[in-house]
Amino acid sequence: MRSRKGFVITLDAIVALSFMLLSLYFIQAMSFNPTAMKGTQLKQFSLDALSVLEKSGSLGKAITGNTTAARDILLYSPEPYCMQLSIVAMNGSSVATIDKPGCMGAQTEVQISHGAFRFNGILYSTTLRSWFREEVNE
Amino acid sequence: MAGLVMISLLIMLFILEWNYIAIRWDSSESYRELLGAGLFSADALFTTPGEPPGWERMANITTANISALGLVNGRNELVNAKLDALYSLNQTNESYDFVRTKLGIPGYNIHLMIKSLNGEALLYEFGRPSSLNNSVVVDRIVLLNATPARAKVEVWR
Repeated sequence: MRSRKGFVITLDAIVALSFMLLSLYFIQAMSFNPTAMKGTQLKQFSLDALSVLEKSGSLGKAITGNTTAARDILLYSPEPYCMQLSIVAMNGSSVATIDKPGCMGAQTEVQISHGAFRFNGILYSTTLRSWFREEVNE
Repeated sequence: MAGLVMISLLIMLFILEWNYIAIRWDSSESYRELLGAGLFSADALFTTPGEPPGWERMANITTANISALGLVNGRNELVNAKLDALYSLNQTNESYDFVRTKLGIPGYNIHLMIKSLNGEALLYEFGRPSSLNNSVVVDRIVLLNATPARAKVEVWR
């Protein structure tokens, strides 16, 4: 009878400790999540890119069909960043869509930045979609 | 006997796990603070002109007459005179400390690099690089002399 009681108490202790250990593993898994601040970094960079695209005249060139300068700005963004720039005229017609090379595949946690600029008297809106390459989020 | 061994093993695992969490928590908090300092200083440098906006024209740059430093006039548009003024503050420990304080990161070291868009040519450098792998680098894109360029702000303790 006494040995049975001892066994139950031991089993109880083992179960309790296992639960505590399990909860510690959960805490550990949740305690380190740098994604939020990395997202802020990506957002800041996207706003920079939109501003530089406009002020360097790259957007105007893209409207006339020369997308090289705009493509270079996207191309030389940090390696983990993926970007897609769309330029739309105010009547809704798409003027240009430029993708950073090598950024095909799933787009998760996409940040969207908008801008507007005037070129030859016509107002255009720009949308820059940015996200991390897949392997960074894994 | 088996129960005792099992409980001892679990307690040992518990202690190890607790210790690991404490270390990881501490390092993640340090990383967050470091990244926050990097983001903050990069934003101050590349989106604000400083306070007063014409701080680079002051004959005597001191804590008393300048409250914040910035390198642009419009967002991302670097001003050569501001870059030169910042560079002149790299000469002594006191002026370097002054820059760190006015960027709002007094407890951190800073290293700023501006490179050509493809990263091949170094166009400007300020501050002290970290020799160890203990820094955070914030990438920005700027306009230097109306040409797109890459800026890297490295912050470390």
